[in-house]
Amino acid sequence: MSESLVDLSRLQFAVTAMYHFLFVPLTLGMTWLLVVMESVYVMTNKVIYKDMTRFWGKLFGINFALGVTTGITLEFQFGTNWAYYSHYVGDIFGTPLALEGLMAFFLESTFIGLFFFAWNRLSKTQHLLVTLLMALGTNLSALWILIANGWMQSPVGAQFNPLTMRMELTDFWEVLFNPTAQAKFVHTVSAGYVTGSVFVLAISAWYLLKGRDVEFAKRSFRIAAAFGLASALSVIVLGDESGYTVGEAQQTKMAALEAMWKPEAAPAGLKILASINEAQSKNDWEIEIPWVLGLIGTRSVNKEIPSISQIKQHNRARIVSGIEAVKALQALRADPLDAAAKAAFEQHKVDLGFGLLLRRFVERVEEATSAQIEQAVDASFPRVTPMFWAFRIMVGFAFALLALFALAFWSTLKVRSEARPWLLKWALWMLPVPWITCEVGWFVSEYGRQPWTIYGVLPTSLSVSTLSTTSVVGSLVGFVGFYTLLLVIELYLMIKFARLGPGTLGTGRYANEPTAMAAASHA
Amino acid sequence: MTHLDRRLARQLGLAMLVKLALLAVLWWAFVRPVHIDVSAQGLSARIGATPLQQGETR
Repeated sequence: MSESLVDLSRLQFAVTAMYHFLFVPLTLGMTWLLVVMESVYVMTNKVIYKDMTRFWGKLFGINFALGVTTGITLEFQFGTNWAYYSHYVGDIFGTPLALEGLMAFFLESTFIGLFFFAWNRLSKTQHLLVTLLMALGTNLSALWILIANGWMQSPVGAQFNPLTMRMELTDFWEVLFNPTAQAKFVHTVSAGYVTGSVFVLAISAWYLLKGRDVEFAKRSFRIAAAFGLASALSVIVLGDESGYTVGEAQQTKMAALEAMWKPEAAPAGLKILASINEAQSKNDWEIEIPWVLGLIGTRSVNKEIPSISQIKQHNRARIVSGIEAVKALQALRADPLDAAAKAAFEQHKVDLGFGLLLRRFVERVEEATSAQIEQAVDASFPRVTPMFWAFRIMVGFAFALLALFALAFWSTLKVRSEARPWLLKWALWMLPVPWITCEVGWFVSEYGRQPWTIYGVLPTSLSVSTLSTTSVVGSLVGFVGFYTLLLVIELYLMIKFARLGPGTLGTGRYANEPTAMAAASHA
Repeated sequence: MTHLDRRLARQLGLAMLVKLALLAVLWWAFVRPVHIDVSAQGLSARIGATPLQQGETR
C-alpha cells in the first residue's frame, strides 16, 4: 500500500472532520443555552428572555442550517477511501451511525423546525418542551457518534471471525457503555457547551462595549458566564476522567502526550514544558509538577504509568505473537476445520492486529526479520512532539477559558459588567479560542490513536482503499472548496446578524430595528 | 417576521440548495465511480492471510 495514498486519505478525513467540527460544538452548546434562557422566560414571564431565546436562536439556526449534512462527506469516505475498514468493522461501527441517523438526527431536526415555526402555535411551556427535546436530540446525535468513535479507541464487545474476515458484534451493551466512549461523550459535549457560552459571552461583551442593547446584553452575558463557568469546570474535570480512561485503555496515547520515554517512579509528575528529542528518545530538559500525572492516570500514588520504552517492549511481544496469529489464520483460511490451527488462533488472536502492523514492512508477515519487527515496534507509536504540544495547547486554552468565565461570573455578581471594559475586550478576543481548543482536542484524540484505525485491531495502512492518488487529491480539493464556501457564508451571516443584534427581531425594543432602518434608507 | 428574517430564510434556503447540489456533484464525481471489492477473500489477500498456493514461493 502506497504511503502517500494512506497519508492523503488520512489528510482528507482529518480536514473534512475538522471542518465539520467547526459547526458542531456551537450547535451542542447553543441548544442548552436556549433551554436556560427560555426556562427563565417561562418562570419569570419577562419578555426580554423570550427575545434572548429568539435572537440567539436565530444565530443558532444559521449555524445549524449551514452545518447540517456537512458530516455526509465523512460517510462518503467510509465507503470510498476506507472500504477495507468498513468491511472489517462495519458490523459494529455501522450500528451507532445508523442509530444516530434514525433516532437522534430526526428528533433533532423535527424539534428544530418546531422551535423556529411554532412560537405562536404552542403555549410557553409546550415551546420550552420543544426546545428541551431539540437539545436532547442534538446531544443524542453526539452520543451515537462518540460511541462509534470510542469503539475505535477502545474496541469492546466484538470479536474477529476468520471465516468472514470481519469483526462481529458480540455484546451491544458493552459497546454502548464502553467507558472510553462515555468519557469522550461527556468531555466533548462539555467542550461544546463552553463554545456556545463563549459565543454568547463575546457577542454580548461587544454590545456592552458599544453601549447598545445594554439590558439584553447584560442578561445574556450573565447567563453565558454562569453556564460557561459550569461547563468549563466540567470539561476540565471530565477531561481528567478521560485521561484516566486513556490510562486504562490506551496507555500509548498517555505516554506519547506526556513524552514519558523511560519508566518513572510512581506517582509520575506532569510535564509542563519539555524539549523533546525524538531521535534519541529523550527530553533534553523538562519542567514538571510532581505527582499530578500519576494521580490523573492511575488514581493512586503507587501505581506506575507505563513509559514509551515499556510499551514498545510490550508491543514487540504482541507483534511476535501476532505473527503466530497470522500463520494460524492462513491455515484456517486453507482449512476451516483444522483443529490445531483453530487452537493456535484462539491462543494468539488478541494479537492479530499487532501482527498486521508488519504488513507495512514485509509482504508475508510470517517471513518478517528481526529488523522488520523492530521497524513495526517503532511504528506502533504516534510521533511524540505533536502530541505533547497539542495537548498543552488544549489544556492551556481550557484553563484560560475557565479563568475568563470565573471572572465574568464574579463581575456579574459584584459589579456592573459594563464597568470593566478590559474584561469585555478579553471576552471578545477569546471568541475563536474554544474552536481552536476543540480542534486541537480532536487532533490529540485521533492522531494519538495512530498507527491504528481501530486500536490494536486494524492498522490504518490496511484500512485504506486502493484508489489512485489523483482521485483522492481531486476529492480532497472538492471537499475543501465545499466546506470553505459554507464557512464563508456562515461567517458572513453570523457577523451580519450579530452586528444587527436583537433589533432584527422587530419588537421595537432594541437598537437597529428593521423599520427604523428601512425608514432611514428611504429618507 | 421582519423583512430581515424573510431575507435570511431565503438566503439559508438558497445555501441549503447549493449545499445539496454541491454534495450531489461531489458524490457523482468522486464516490459513484469507485467500486472496491471488499470480499472476505480480498481482505484475506490484503492482510496477508491467504495461504500460499501450490507452486507459489515465499
